[in-house]
Amino acid sequence: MATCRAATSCRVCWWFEQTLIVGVGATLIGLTGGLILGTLAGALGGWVDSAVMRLVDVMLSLPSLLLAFSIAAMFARPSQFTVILAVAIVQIPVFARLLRGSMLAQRHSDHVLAATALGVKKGAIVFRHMLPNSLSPVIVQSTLVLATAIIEAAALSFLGLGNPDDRIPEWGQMLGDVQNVFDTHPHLAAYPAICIIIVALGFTLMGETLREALDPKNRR
Amino acid sequence: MSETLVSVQDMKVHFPIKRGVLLDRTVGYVYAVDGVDLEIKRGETYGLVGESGCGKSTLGRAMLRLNEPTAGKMVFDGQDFSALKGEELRKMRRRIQMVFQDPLSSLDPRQSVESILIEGLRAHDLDKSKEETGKRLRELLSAVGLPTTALRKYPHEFSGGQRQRIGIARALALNPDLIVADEPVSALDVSVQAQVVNLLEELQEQFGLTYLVIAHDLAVVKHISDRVGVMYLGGLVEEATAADLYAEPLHPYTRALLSAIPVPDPVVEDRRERILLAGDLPSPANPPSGCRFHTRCPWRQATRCDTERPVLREFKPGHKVACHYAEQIRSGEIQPHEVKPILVEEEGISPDIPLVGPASVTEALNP
Amino acid sequence: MALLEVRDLTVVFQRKGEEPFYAVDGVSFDVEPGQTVGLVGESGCGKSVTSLAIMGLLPKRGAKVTGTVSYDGTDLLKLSDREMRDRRGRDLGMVFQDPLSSLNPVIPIGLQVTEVLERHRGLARKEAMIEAKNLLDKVGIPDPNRRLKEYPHQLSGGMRQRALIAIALACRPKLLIADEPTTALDVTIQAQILTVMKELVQDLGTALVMITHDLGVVAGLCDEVNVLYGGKVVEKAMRHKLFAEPRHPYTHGLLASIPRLDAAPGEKLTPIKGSVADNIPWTQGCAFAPRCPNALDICFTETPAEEEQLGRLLRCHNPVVPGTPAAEEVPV
Repeated sequence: MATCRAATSCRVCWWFEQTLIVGVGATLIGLTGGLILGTLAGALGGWVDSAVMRLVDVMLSLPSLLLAFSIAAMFARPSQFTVILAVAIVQIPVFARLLRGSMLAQRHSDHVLAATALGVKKGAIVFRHMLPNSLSPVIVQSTLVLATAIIEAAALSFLGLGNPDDRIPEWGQMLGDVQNVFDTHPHLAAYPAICIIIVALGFTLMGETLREALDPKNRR
Repeated sequence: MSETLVSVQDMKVHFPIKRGVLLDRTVGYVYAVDGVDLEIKRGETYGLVGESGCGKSTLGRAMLRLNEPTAGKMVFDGQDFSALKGEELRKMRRRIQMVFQDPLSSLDPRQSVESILIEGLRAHDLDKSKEETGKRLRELLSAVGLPTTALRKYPHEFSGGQRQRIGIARALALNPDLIVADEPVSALDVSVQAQVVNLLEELQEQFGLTYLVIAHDLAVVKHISDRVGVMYLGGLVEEATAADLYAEPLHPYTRALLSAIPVPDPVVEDRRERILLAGDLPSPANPPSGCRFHTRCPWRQATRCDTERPVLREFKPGHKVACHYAEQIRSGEIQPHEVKPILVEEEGISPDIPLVGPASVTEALNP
Repeated sequence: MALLEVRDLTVVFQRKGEEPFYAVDGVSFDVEPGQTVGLVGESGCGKSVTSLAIMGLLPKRGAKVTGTVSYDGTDLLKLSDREMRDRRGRDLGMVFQDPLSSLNPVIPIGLQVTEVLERHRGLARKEAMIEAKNLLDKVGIPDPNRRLKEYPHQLSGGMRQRALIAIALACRPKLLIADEPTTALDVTIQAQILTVMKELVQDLGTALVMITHDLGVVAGLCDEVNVLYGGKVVEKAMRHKLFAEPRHPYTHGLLASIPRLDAAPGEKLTPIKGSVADNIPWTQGCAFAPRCPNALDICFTETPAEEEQLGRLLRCHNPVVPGTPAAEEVPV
């Protein structure tokens, strides 16, 4: 019994590292994809905007977990990378829509018009004025997405679509292992749960601090 | 002095009204600017007045090509500005600058004053050497009455009046010929407005600028302008020198507008006769036939007013008016009468709202 | 006794770890029935906070209100929330600057008017509907029967403001407080609304407190004018007296800085230098001193007291002598 507990706590710590890799990796890839799509739609507008947004609509209309399952199942040999990729793709439309919305608002703003009137090149306007001023909601969102990404990664590995290597444990896998002893030792499920709460909270607070640091009103 | 710098010919800006969830369908147009001709001479200040929704700001933006005009052209210093494309247009923008209404939103909150002022210089390769640029920036700041310490600060650290000075300095940086000022003082406190008005006048003298001042406040426009154009529902209804317009307004709308502006003097206020207009501005998506003003005009006649759109014609040298009956109204032959207000349907269509459809199905379903 | 007596009204905003901020600092004025009193000043002078304090609409936490606001003999500041709620709408009406956000967007105009009538005047639905129609008619809304069924977004700005005035008048309040009622409107619509308000004061004997930054509006409408600066009344007089002979350098400066429609061509404006950010605290001296062309050394060290002379209240160490032209502009 004692060894079992020690093993669990050890695995919880190890899991932390794995989860970080999956969560951060998936969020970063999702963020990058979202930034590219959102910037394209928000900066170019017109038919590009329509095309990108319809694509996003299609992705959003599929249940996110189901989409992740299908993507993960497409790979013959599941690995940690496939989990990251599956979770990341699901996050792309969330970022793309958010960024597009705030880019559109920026496009009609006076300071962007002022830059246009100055004769500043279009690319410079997008990357120097529109994008930096649209990022703060996206950054806050990314910290929330981190938590979701962790949970989705867990769900994938719970269903056996995660890393098949048994020596590298993940939260979902651990929950799966704990399943049969849940009646007698419910606390074994509590450890990973507490960890995820702490991690999610930590990232949310980090996002808040990041947003404040990025706000020019707090400068100097 | 009498050389024409800007000539706007039959400028039209129509915004499509789009409806539909998946595929946008154009269901109508907002006739924001509907056929405007005007000329601005080098070195003068042309004032454009009118109430909200009359299209004055849209006209200003269309002239700068921040909105693409639907029809018509603008000739700037002998060149057809509206036909320019790409790099040519971008280079030409140096000569036409803009000052915005809201000094805070027109400055990027993430840029320091220095980078705001340098941006334009850089875009036109005027940022040659560090010393020269530094000298230029100090010149600009002293021209608009700001200390050099302002360079490293951010827009939110200034008061409204100071921010407007930064906006003016940014416009000046490129040595433009024409500055379009859209409501340059209306967002400022009363005691600060005069500072900015005086600054604009001083800069004009110093740099030989030409201004197009767009404002709803006829008192400000009258003070600052040499010539004034009055807009109503997308068209010019009267154009005259500032003194002439005030001394002898010819168009019924100008008369009503002048009589509605409160004067800070109780003696004048008690004596004045007000021409109260009935009802509201009709929707620019569905403008009245004939004379746009006939639905609210106290001098409206049974014929012509509702069928034939009056053209802006020369009434006397330097004074133009778009009214069929200007002579009779002036001589008192036609007397004002009571007007029953006509219902104006607001359909949520206004040129102030950006006319973009929903971005996606989900956005349409839960806004 | 006056209908409304405001004495020494002070509103202090105090946030944790910050200096207390005196938004309104000892403001006193009276309003008689049928009289229009103006509170004029620029943004941050405390005029709107004064109106909110009178209506009891300031948040209980964070804002400390002292002084007395006696309405018909009762001190409104001492009433409980519930008693105050009964008074608002029935005795005191209020019209705000932004008519769209002051109306409930999902309820038809008619229902918003009848709601007040049913609640405060105890009318039945049918009677309330008829009365609502009369009210809309009175404030000059065309085709009131149809308008009653419409939602706020279907009305134009001017019509919304009229509807708001109709709601404020629904219970025939003896006092109406209008906070920048025409600022969001066009001048021709402003002229319509001001005419409606003027007629209401004349016909119903309503007392009106008019809060505005526009000296032109005040000149045509108000009987008595209070000029506020930095939370204090700096000058108070009947309108003819005030406009003919402004004595406080701030009032004087404001009048000299506004372009007038009837001014001779080429007339120069004389702005007031600086901005409200330059103010010094009243406890130290005169808040306006750093911007004042008449400032003496004493203005920076001693708070000027309120003095009454010949029907004019003045708070200044060195008032403008009548007949002097505006001071020459000092470079900023």
